[in-house]
Amino acid sequence: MKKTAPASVGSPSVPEGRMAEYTQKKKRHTLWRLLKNFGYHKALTALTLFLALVSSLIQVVKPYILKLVIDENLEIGLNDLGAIGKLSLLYFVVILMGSVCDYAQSITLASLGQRVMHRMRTNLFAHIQSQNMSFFDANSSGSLLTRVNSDVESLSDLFSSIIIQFIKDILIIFNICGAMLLLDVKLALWCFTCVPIVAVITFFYRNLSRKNFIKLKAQLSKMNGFLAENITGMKMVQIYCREKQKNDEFYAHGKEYYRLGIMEVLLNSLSNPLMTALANLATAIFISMFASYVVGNTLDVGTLYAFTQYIKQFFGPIANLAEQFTSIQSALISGDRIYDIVDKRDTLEDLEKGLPLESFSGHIEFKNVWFAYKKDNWVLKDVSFEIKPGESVAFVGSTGSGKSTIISLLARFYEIQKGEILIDGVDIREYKLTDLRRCISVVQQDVFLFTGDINYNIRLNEESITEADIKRAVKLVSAESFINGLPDGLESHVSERGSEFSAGQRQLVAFARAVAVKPSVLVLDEATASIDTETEAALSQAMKTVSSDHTTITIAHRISTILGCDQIFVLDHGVIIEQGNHDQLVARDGHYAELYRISLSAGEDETA
Amino acid sequence: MRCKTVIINYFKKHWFRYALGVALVIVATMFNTVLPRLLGEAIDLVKAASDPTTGTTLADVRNTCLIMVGCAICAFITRNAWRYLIMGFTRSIELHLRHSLFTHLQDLSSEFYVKNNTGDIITRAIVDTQAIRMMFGMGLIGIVDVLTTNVVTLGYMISTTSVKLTLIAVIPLPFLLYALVKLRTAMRKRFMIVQHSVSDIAAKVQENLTGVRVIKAFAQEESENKQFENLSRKKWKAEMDMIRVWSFINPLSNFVFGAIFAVFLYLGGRMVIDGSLSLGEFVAFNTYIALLMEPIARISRIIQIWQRGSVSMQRLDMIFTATPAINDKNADKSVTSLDPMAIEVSDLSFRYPGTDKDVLKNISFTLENGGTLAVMGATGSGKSTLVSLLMRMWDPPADSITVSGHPIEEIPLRTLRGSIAYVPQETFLFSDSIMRNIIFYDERFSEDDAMEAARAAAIHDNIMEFPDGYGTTVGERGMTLSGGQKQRVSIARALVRKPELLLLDDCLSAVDAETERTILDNLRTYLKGCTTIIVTHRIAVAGIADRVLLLNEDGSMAAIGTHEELSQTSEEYQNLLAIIEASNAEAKK
Repeated sequence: MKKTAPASVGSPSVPEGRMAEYTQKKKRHTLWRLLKNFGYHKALTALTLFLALVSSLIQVVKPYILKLVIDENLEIGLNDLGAIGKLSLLYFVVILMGSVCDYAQSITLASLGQRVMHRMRTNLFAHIQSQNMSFFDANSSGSLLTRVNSDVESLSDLFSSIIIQFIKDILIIFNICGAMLLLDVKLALWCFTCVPIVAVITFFYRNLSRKNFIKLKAQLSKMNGFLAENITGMKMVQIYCREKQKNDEFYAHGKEYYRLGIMEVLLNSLSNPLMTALANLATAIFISMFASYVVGNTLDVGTLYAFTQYIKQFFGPIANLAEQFTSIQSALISGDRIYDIVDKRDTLEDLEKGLPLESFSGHIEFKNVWFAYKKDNWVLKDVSFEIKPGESVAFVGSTGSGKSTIISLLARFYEIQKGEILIDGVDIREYKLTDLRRCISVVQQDVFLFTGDINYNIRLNEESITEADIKRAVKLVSAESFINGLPDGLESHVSERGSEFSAGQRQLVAFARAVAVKPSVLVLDEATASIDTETEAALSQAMKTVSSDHTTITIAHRISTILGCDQIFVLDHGVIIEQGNHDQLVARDGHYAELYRISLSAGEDETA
Repeated sequence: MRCKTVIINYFKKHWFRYALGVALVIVATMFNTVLPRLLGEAIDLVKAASDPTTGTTLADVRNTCLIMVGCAICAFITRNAWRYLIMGFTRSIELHLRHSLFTHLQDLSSEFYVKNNTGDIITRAIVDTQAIRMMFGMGLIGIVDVLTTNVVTLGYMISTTSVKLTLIAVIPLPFLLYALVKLRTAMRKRFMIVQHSVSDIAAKVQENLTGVRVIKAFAQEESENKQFENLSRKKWKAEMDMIRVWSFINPLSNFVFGAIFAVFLYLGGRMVIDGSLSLGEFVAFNTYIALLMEPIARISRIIQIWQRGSVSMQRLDMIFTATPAINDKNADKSVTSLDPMAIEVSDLSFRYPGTDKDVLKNISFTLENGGTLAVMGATGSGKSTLVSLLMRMWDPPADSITVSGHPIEEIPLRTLRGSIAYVPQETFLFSDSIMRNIIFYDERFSEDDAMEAARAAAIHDNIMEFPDGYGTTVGERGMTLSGGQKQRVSIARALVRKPELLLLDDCLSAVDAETERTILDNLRTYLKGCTTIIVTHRIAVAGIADRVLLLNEDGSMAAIGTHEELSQTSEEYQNLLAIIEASNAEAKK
């Protein structure tokens, strides 16, 4: 795996030039790369091929036995019933063997295909998991979902039936060509004049269908994305009575998919149907051309007849191939779409490399940090600050001033463009990424709960977190009364995104999750926004006791929540404009003092 | 409504196209069966032409060849015509089915979406509709094709050989059919598992992608990979279980026909020897068996498509048969306006369907036109539930809520929701421009309206700072807005509608105190006379409301009245104030 360049720009889109380079490479290699997957299962592949060989041999033996019965026995009047009986028995045994062999071959082939797909699917998923946030900003979940699901599924036919059939068909074509050449070179060469025609048609068909498949699959992605978004936002659409507009939009997406689908149907006329028609035309022309040779006694009728049969047998597999070409084409486009993601290595996070870390003291330093999500649109401009171990600090500022971005950078969700971020004196790019993030626990603005139960949502998959730890965390964040009130307590079911809980309850669970991992740095990003005042007060009291042993960073709009902090940074448009503790900042009578006055007057309202 | 009904209705409307297609399939098959016979004839003519005594000339050969060319062209045309008619038709069924499904999804209420996973619904709408398309395309055509070929072959057999031989040839058919029926049931079950495993994978991926930030923040990538691998393994296993059964079909039919043929080889051979069967008949029988078997080889594929399709229909029925819990069944169509707005809630108790705990208990209050009510209470005390009941996201018990004098269930949903603008606690923006997110696809509002609303929501200046202004794409595929910015766009979306009733569900939580103030002030002037309900934790907000409704943690009413009244009379409210004061005091310290 290519290593992520530490200084790589965190811009969400891949540089155009590099993208083009990938496209060039993959065009040549997709089929080859797909086929190389069989290499991981050499024994099974060999077994499958062997079984396929045996079963085609049996296909040849069957008519031969029949021929023996008819030609060598009945026709010449030998009438040896005993021999016929033996041959019948042999025929039965061969049939039995053939069936067993066929069955075994289907199973091994399917198993091979499933293994390869399982491998591709899990690799693709793991690869997506290791991408950085820029990647997720640039790719919608709908398009990624389509790749893991539909696109991997499209490969199924390729791996499980087409390849074997393809090999068989090509073998047949070679056999027929050989037989034709042996029988009559002139006639054979004449027949081969069809080949360029077939090649030209195939070339055109390939190009057209390829383009169409690319569009078709992209449209499928769009529909997936549309559905994902609209199912999640269904409530808003219903409340605002915008069903019709969204419905029309979906219909338009569906209609485009339909149009491309019809295009595929039309293009397919160029494949199998055209090949079959060509075979018939070729036969007719062939007979009318060479009939005179037969009349002139330079050609044997038998040979003529044999050739008409060969033409049929020659075009049979070609028509088959043409038909499979559609599936192969479809699989190749899906393969391209998968490798598009797999080849995206510049946005990859190296989770395993770097200094391992149990915990750190929490000495954080930003040195002249510049950052932009999109090129030159600076969100943080030359930001420098220092947080000492065990300190509690806060960032305030209007929305969009870059507070949450600082947190994202600290957990290395994005790479900074300029400057340095140091923890305990070491650049964060030196640390092992998973360890770094384990040590920094963030309670986010947008709470996300997973399907499962509350226990799972607090523990996630950290085995080191004990039952007692969970109970302690729940108690600490004052979520006890709400969780105990649930019928199954900690085992209560959580459905997708925790939709059965109120926003405040979800926030409490997320809070418990952050505390349970015993982080070195605890980050609260608007973590109490949806929690009522009473719980919030209890929570902040509890936080004070825990925060004494680790660094705490709070992001807040409410001055009241951050008054006790050791240091407060005031951010405005990506620049730290003031810093100091509450008293210093008030004394300074600047931006912070203004904020404080507003909040105080609000507070007076509250207690008035 | 069921999936079957949707399809049948569509067929009823467009049966002619499909019937024409099927007829053309038969015509095309005929052309194809004529071709080999013409070939035979042509060869015979060539043979005859080389013998001068027959009087056949090369012109005769050419004519036959010309007929062949004609037939080949006709076969090509008819084949493409049916392909276009039928495949095109199945594509449009797919479109229609997917569209009907989405329309139905739009009618389904929150209850459905709490129970079902997004990824699972998407899989049904995309993958299962594809399977149904295949069923009516290749599946049905396959059956027509196999049947015509076999009937034609059997017809030839009866007319050219003896009935007895034909009967021998069809002996395996009943056994095969029986076996197929048995296998079909076994396959169906396994297909269901396969399709579910596809859904499970989709649900996992969908959830994983939505929550990727949390996964990364807590370094859960490895365990997510493991979970995904398990699901993928499950699918692998399910597919193999299905294939193990499915793969029986071909070898089995080969074996049955082959075995019959082996028997015939012996018995028929004996008959040829004792002269009761001619060698020609013996050979012909062989050919016919081969002809009969040829389409049988395709049957396994057809059964697979067919079973997958019918399982998919069942899976779509899960959605189609879900009835919209919220509907206009009791609606009084004459109610078209809720102006003047007045809300009366009397003795409202509510529990979510399928649970046994009341979320709201005996709530009563009235809100007159133009009034503002602040709803406060502990986390989980039912504030958001109360708001969603007013929009009828859930059905409240009868007679507990009246709006403008009408019981809420008698107000048509469009009228009710058309009069309400709602700002949710958790903002949802669509992947579209900010402008379109504010106007929210409603042509009634101009861009100026949107900007005015954005100003009132104190977001206009922020938007103008973006390089693309109101054209900036937001949502999943767009620019990342901060939490506060998103909330304010969402507020602008509500304000632009100038609704009769404005519901604000704690929607200023990510906004700083200063901005909150501005917005609340703007609301007064911008929405003069608009009835408003604000869910909030901030006493400051409660202070500007006409009245405050305070809920207990168990969902019962603690107090209702003006801020002044409550601070005098309500013990709970005083407690709340005390807590705030304490934290303020500590802050000042």
